[in-house]
Amino acid sequence: MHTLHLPATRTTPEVHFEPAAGHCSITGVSIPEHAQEFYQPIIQWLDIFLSVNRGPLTLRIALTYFNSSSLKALYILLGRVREAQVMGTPVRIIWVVEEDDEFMLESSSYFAELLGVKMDIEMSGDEGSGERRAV
Amino acid sequence: MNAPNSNLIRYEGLLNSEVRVQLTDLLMAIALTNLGSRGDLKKLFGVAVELLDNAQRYCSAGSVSFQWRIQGPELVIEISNLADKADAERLLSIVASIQSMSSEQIAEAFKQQLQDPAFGEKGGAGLGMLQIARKVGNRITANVRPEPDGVYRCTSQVTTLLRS
Repeated sequence: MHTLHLPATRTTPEVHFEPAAGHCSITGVSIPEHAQEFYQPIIQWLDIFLSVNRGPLTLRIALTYFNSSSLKALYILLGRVREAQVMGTPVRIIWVVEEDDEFMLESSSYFAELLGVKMDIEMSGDEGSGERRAV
Repeated sequence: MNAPNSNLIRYEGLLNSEVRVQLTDLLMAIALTNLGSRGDLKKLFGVAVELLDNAQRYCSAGSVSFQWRIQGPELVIEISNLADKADAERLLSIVASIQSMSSEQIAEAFKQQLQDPAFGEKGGAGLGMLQIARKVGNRITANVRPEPDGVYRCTSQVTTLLRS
């Protein structure tokens, strides 16, 4: 499988999926006009990856902001990861939250609870980088 | 420091992809320098983005009017656009529904909509107004006024208390 790399734009995050290492990252801001169009190819790529791969998968989400249509697309994407986890793929989800960002902290905890997945919350920023929590 | 009542931004004109990007950049810059904590900033930027997304998605023609203004301890975010009858009625229905909901009912409606994998035919997730209500409460109003040529002027307004 080829590496999936989408550079960041002013409304979409950088997406980098490295199949050999099992590392996926989504980084930046996600406020596209059409979130479904943006995320659909990423979800399709992930579906193919999960269908042929049984090794560990690490998904790192470091978003500074997302709109509600991105939220639904991310929910679908994380649902796929959750399904793979249930089927036995070792999965680690890291959600990076800036210090003092209640919006993103609530969003990550909400997703973890709703999907029933274990998620590592990594705090970053000026005042306390490096702290980690599991939710 | 802002005056007790002041306009942070007022825009009237076309709302296309480039304008949307420029407005969101500008909103973030204004929020960073005017709106206190990061929690406030993200929350209020979020409200603005959802309203802009709705206006762009459902605008049938003409220009939009968008403003952020401070009224005493509160921030008022308002957007106005032209829409066809079906979208205008849909806006009124959604806002009336949200106004009648408790915070628990809003949370449940949001959860159900999030778990529905379908997107609308115009690309919306059906979450925008519910997300606003979750984040800042249900002080959301919508006003619809008929205009010539069978279109409707839709004005949505969100009022929220600033924490700092």
